[in-house]
Amino acid sequence: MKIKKEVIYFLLLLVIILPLIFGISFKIKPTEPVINFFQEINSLKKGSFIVVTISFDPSTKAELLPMLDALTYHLFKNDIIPVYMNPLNANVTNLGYLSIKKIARKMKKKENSDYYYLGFVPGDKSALQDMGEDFYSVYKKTFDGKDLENFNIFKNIQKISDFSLLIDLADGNSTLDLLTYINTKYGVPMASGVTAVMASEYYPYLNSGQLLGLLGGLRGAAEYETLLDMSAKARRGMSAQTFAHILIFILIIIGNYEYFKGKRHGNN
Amino acid sequence: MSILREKGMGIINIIVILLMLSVLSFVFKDNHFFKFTERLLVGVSAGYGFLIIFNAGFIKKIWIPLFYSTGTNNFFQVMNIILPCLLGLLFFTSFSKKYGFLAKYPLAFLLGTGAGVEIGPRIETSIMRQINSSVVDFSNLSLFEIFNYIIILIAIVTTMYYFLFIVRGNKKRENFIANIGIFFMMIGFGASFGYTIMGRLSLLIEVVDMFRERIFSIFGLL
Repeated sequence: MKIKKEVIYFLLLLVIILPLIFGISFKIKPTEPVINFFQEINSLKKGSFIVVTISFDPSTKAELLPMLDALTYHLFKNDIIPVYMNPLNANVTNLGYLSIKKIARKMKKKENSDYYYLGFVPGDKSALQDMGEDFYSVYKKTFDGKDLENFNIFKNIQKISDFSLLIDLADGNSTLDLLTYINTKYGVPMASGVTAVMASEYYPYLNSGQLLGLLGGLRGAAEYETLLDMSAKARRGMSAQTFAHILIFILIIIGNYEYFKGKRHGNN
Repeated sequence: MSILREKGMGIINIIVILLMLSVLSFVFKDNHFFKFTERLLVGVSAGYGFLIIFNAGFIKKIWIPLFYSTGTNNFFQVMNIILPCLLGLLFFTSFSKKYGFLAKYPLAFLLGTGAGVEIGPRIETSIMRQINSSVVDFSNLSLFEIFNYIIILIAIVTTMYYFLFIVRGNKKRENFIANIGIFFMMIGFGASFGYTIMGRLSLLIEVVDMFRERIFSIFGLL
């Protein structure tokens, strides 16, 4: 039996479209790394300052933007003050900023008092190092051009270790860089949200306690949304994902069956 | 004003849908629509990235401090900006045959400082702390956790054995240990592969969902 590739693509498209149109959803059971991530944020006191580094490109926003949205919602709900920045990725500047602004508007949070967005600075790893010694040598202004010195709340912060937690949302090596330069060197507790492709790479850092929590791909974002009791993009996407996985299982079984059948008849 | 805005959004939605279809048309065959969209994406991404980096790097860190800031009037502060710029400009000498060797100086500086800064913390992060977490005290652990750590220990030893000793041996015992290492590596690769499929499907889901949202908003169903 031969299945044309166009048929496979069509079937894949169908199993993704239908759950999205009809809003089919499944119960998602959160896993330990996501629960730890969630509890770590819940354990922070009201008014705590945390850093959220947005280190992904628009090409991976499918997985990481739902994480950013859910995280922002969680932080605002708990009255924690996030300081967003993207020192390791220039291309995400507007994407992150607009997404946070949208949630802030819904939850009636004000920029430069309930949250801060600092944007991109050049310097890569040397910028991270400098933040450990003197935060203001790297960031002097917010993304919208306001001097950080003018905000009373920033007077308690001199270096990166003055923040309670660092969360990185990444599609590259930034989590490892931040672990190396911020967590190991300055002892800032750290959690991370990464793309599915990278998740298995970071489990050793989770086991060693260097990462306090980990969100892996769309599944991680959906588990996080479940814990927050919100039904947003990730949970909707996971039902389509489940159907697509079932289709792939069936295709693998058909492929193997045909392979072994052909082998038995001496035909490779 | 709002009518104009709505019309504008409608046109943007149509452009987005056409561009998405052009990209997806590659599924069937490489074609001019796909090539156009591919180049458009690369061009726009590069242009946007350049603008952000130019503004954050050159304008804010060099131009404004040198020509508009009152805080940069000290000779050392000025040199602190000018010297790195000159070092950076030496990269452009690689276009010249005669002075091309000068490009090696900033490169050497970058590699030297980069290695010096990175080696220490990287060893601490990725080797020392990983070794520490592999050595555990069993006295405070549950039976399940002990079992888990024993499996991790077997995986570490057999996988390292495969990489360090397999070239030497043909003996059966050596191959047996290496095979266990391979088994654990296959589990690791399988998990990565599974996650990769999940990641790619997430991208497709995002595209389909965006497609659905745009079409619904054109017809006023959203």
